[in-house]
Amino acid sequence: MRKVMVGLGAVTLALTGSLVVASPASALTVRALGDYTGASARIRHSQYLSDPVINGLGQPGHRTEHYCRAYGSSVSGNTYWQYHTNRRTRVTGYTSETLLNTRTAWAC
Amino acid sequence: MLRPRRAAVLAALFLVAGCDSGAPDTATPLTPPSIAPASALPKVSAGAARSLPLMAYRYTDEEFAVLARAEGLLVQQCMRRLGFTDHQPPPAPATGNGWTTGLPLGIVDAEHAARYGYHTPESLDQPAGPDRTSTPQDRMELAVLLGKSEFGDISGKGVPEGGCQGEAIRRLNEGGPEADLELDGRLGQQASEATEADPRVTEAMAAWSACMAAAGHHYRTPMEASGQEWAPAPSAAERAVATADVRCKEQTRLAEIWFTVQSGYENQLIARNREALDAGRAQIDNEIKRAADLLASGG
Repeated sequence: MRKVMVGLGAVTLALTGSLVVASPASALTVRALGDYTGASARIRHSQYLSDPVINGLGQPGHRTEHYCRAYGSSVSGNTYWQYHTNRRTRVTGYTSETLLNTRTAWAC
Repeated sequence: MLRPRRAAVLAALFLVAGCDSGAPDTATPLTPPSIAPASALPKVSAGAARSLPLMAYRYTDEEFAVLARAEGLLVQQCMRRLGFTDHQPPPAPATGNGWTTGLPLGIVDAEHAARYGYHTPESLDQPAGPDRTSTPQDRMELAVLLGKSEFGDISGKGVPEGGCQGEAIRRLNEGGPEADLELDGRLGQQASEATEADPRVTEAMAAWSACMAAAGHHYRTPMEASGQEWAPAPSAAERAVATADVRCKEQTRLAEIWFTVQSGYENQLIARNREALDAGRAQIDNEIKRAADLLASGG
């Protein structure tokens, strides 16, 4: 199956000059949908607490679209952050997994 | 037509009365809301934040399920148009947060505290470290989804503004009203801060701290207890602190007082910002209707 898919990908590239490269694409990009579990969750520019830039806030009910997981600063013993979009405010960034009700384990 | 002097007097009265003029009002000091005696307040349980007044201006579970399906289809159409022929919509949304109140106070469930301490159940179900590695193709796909070149070079590739996600959101919001999408969040934070400073809450917090001290745990607030650097997996010490935390909240009715006071502050902010909040609600309603129509038409 992989050889067939690689072959198809190469043909597509030749015919359309599209973004598809000659390897199978992963099926999912938005890998999980969920919500904030904590009030006023910081959506940060990066997964490090030393980075002072806050892109926005998340509240329960705003809902989240998750893309990948990053290792970063520890929050209450948890060092994992979710790169995601706040669907209500359309702000994208990193929030500690301690403040979210779902997660993806795909690495950023 | 009003004479200028009478119009000025009426305008002044309008402002003094604190009526909603359309512009968001987050500057006028809030009035401490009246609440019943602590013993008469309804019990607060996990998920309590979903019953706060400002939740009326956010997505319900049902609304987000419809929105997510429609947006997933639109994104898929766009991604496939740009060559990602295997792109699939996301899985169904996870709902609820059954282990925490959603308030800054955190947990109130004794069973959760005894088993997980301050950790989330999900955090213990996964291996330490990510088990899926993103490939260059994954990163390019993310770049196209979000329109962000930090994940891959999308220049000259016909990627719409904001990526395929941006395109899908625009389509779902066509014809809808303009709204301040971050207003309800800012008001929620303002209400939470006012709550934390409210004398009834600070008194209950002090009682909680005294209860914790009597049990041998020295913290000023539950946030201090849950926010400290615990080990990656809950230790016996963490579970003991969390268990005492929940017991002391029950004894002092701290969560009930916090929830009721915050509800009062949120209601004040809603009354002062109703026009702007209603615009936000209308924006959601339009978005959900367009999503439902899209799904009904088969995409």
